[in-house]
Amino acid sequence: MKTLNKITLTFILFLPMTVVQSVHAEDLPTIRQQMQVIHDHFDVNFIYDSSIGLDIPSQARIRPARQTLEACLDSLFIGTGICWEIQKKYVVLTHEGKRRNPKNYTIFVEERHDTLRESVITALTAKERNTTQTGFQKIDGKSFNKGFAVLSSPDVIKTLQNLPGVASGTELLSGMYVRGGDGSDNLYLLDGVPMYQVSHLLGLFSSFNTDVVQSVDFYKSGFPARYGGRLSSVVDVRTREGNMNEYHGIFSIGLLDGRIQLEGPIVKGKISFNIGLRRSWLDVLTEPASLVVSKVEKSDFRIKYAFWDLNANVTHRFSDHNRLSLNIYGGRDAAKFRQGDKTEESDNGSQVRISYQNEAAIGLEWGNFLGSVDWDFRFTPEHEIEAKAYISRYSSLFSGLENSKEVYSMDEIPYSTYKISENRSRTTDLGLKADLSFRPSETHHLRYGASLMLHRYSPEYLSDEHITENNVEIRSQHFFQNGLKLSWEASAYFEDEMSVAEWMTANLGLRYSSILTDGKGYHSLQPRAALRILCGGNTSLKLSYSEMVQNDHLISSNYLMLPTNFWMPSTEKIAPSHSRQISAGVYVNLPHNIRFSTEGYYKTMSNLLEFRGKWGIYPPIHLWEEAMTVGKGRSWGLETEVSWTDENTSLTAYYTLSWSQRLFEEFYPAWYKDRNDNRHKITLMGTRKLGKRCEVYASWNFHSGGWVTAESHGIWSEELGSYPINFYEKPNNIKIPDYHRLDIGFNFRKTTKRGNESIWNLSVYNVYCSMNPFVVYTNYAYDFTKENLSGLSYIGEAFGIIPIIPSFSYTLKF
Amino acid sequence: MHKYLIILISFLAATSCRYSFELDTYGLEQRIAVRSVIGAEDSTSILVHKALPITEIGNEDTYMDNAAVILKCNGKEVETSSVRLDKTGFRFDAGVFKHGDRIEIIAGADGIETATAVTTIPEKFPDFEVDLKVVENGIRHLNIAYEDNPETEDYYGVSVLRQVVLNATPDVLLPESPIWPISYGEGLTLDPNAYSPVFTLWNGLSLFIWKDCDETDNTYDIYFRHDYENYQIKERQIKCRLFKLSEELYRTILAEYDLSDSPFASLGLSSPSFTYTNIKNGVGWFCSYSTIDSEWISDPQEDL
Repeated sequence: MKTLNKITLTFILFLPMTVVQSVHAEDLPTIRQQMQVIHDHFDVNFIYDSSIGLDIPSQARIRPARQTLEACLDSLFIGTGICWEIQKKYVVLTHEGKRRNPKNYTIFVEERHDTLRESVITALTAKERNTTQTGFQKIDGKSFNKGFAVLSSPDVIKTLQNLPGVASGTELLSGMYVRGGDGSDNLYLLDGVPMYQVSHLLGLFSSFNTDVVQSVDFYKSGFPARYGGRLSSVVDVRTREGNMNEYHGIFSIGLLDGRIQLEGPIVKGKISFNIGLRRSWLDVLTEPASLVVSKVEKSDFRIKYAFWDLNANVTHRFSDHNRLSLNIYGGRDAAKFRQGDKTEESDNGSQVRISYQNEAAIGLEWGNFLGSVDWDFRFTPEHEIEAKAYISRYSSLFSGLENSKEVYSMDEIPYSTYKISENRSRTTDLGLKADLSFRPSETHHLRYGASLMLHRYSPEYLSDEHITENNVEIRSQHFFQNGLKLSWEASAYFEDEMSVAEWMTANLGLRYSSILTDGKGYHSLQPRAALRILCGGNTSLKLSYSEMVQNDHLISSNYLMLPTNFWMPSTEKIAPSHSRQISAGVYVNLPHNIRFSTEGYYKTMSNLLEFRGKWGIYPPIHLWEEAMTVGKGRSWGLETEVSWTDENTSLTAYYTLSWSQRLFEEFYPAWYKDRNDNRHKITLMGTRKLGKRCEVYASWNFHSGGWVTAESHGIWSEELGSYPINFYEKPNNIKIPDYHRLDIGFNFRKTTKRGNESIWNLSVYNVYCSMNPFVVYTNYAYDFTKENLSGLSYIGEAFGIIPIIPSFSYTLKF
Repeated sequence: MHKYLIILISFLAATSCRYSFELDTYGLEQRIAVRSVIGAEDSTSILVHKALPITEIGNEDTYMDNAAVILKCNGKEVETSSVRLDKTGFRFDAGVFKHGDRIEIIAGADGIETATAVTTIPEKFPDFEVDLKVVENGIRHLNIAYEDNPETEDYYGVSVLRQVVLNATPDVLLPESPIWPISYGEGLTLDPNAYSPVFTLWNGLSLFIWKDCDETDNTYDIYFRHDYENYQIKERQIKCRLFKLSEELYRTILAEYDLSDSPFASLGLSSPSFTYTNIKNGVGWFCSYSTIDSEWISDPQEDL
């Protein structure tokens, strides 16, 4: 055990959806189990010396529904030799007769592998009711691997898409449209480093490997001043450092991908590592399928797709107050399509034969590289600093190849054309940041910091063409264009989390940011304020106001997340985007382990960008500013959550009622519906433990259909011709069919002979095969039994892509 | 490379399920459709029809009992005469309007909300010069230099007509035909991103259109090829029909161009840039232009 000056504390956190305990009715509960009941009801965390024994049976009868917290603690600990003391939202336990010294706590994370009782011990997690911010959700990393796994692979973004206020956009694509925002205005951080692209396989998987994720902080509103740079949400993903004392790992193999994770000490107690690797093997499946198609079609057909990603962390603990870590992330997606054929035909019935040999190929690649060096140092018990130097790079490539050869039989002279074109984009950030924390008293927690970033945006276009006749080059051309832009971005912030009274906390902050591109600079001050009022022991009211500024923009000509998109900074012609949001909510712990919350919001956005359409598919690299038009957005809504848990079951229901609108006067002179204006969103989720080793989970997702633009009116008559003359009245005037999907899954757990845990997961995505639309368009239908135009009708048509997908995975934890 | 994305989407479509659904147009009402493009110093025709919500196609009677139009020029009402075109609409004829006239229309019919619109006849196309050269491999470069007014936001258009005399006995004069620009990326050393003209067939015209802020040096460039092999041509000339467009006309043509140019527009996967109408409480277009022709310019003979 440690000396008196160093007390090792263990924080126990139990999340309602993931913590399951097997309690036999005939056994007395232990003190630890009784503490969990108190924790669940009163929402307090326990801090205690790890030498205190808590696994002894307790005969105390506690009734949290009828007793105060103090009365429950009295009942539980009387006669045990354990003293308790309530400090705000913590209960501190000590041995009777020993006095704790709050300045000398050492905090570490201890993970327990207990296959029968899934107790999860992690670092501090703020409960929704007790945090000051509205729109905040903290998800523990363990919860991803102990519940829902879409396609047998747990996923961060898919989990967030279930939450109220988050629209997922087009089927198949991993969009996150938070409270009326666009998909490009979410700040994704991996260990504090911004990440530009978070999708694999166009969104079926995200770039976050849940095997290494420690926690995810998700903000939809009430943003603390330490976050900035995007309008609508913050997804702050933190990865775990490796175990300092023991080697552990996870091996998982599934239908679509495989994962391996290893962690352990390099120097016991001092240096640890944690590595996670994932790779898909869709290419193993598509290669033989391509060969079959090639044989059937008598052509050369190839299709291949694969992705991989790697997380690596090395942490050196110099002392309990001083830590240095190196974090690396690399990920890549590559998709290739190729088709070639040979044909022969005669030239207009003459004797001349022409043979053609054609090959066309397209390649899509994209990926991220992130690296950071982090230094955490507590130089006094009240002062802490986190300093970071990092690099973040996102690159994408879209290439097309045409290779053709013609040979005329009369002269046998081959005539060949070879053409390749590439759209390439690279976005590179180099950054330095420092975050300081200062607790001058128990009622104030100050945070302040600054960052400096150099952004390098480099979209490129390359075209190469060669024409040969009789193997002699008769024509060639080469064209290359680069739209390189450099910009400097600086920010500073100050925030104070304060306890105004026992029943009131507030978080007030101010953030300054600036960007400089080509001599043009923009500055902004962004106030942030959040207030929480406790009403009694179980209810809190919250209110928040925040302004956010986004200094860079995703330039895209369509709503697909294609590698043809590229990022560019604010310039003289394109100003930063800006949002303001006010949010208020009520959060209640009801009896019988029921939680209820409802939160309303109103949000405005300005300087949003939309593609003007003049340049077709690809925004022009050097005229991209002219290709975009500027407009506004606004959204409002109400989000409600009800959840219930007991030892074996957890049920959660989310409902969102929302509106989202846009005003782009170049398209339409008044407000119109945003394409993701999904009026209703419902998510129902449940998990149930079936015995000690099996659990089942299910989720049903529904949201009202989005909107597309189609002709609204027509004039028609026999004199005008067979088809009407159609007109467009306003944007987004047609609602597409509602979206709904049911997923179910089973986890079968087993302890191997060596005491390791193995898990078989069987899951079915889209159980009743709801073909939710991927693309939608309008078309004429004609009833030929009717005369003239009376048989004509106008209908909508949709393509659905994702059918029912069963999958499985096997996971071994050691 | 446009076709590669189409191939990709087609592949996804081929592996998918297609189904139809009933459109819900959420309270759309009948509207007046106004279609008129008024030329300066030219007679004026306005087409007014009854436009039904597209979900009523084939179901509703399209007959328009009557229609009334009030036309004002600079605030004063002008006379119009009407002719029934077909059971769905009428044509209203008015006199000639000059450069700078502000024309307002109020169109109404029984049971349909009144539609209104405004357009101002643009001033004359500014002084200009036209130059034509061969740049490479038969590609012609047509340059139009003009004096733009920096104080105003102006919208321009040009239709380039070609006149060809073929080698024959006797010579054959072909009918005038419009030229088409070269395809994206066809120019060998041209910057394919710089040269991306807005070119479209609209209302019987083959038009290039632009607005003054698109071009910073008060010139407009067109690159094109001729259709015939050189040995067939005896003589070739081109002429520019230059337009000064009202903002409404520019945006109407641009909307139709956006719809045809983007493969994603009709799939609901791109921005709704093609939905412009300047008819308030109605649909269609009410816009104006002025035009002037250049002289015939001989095509350079270097490669004949």
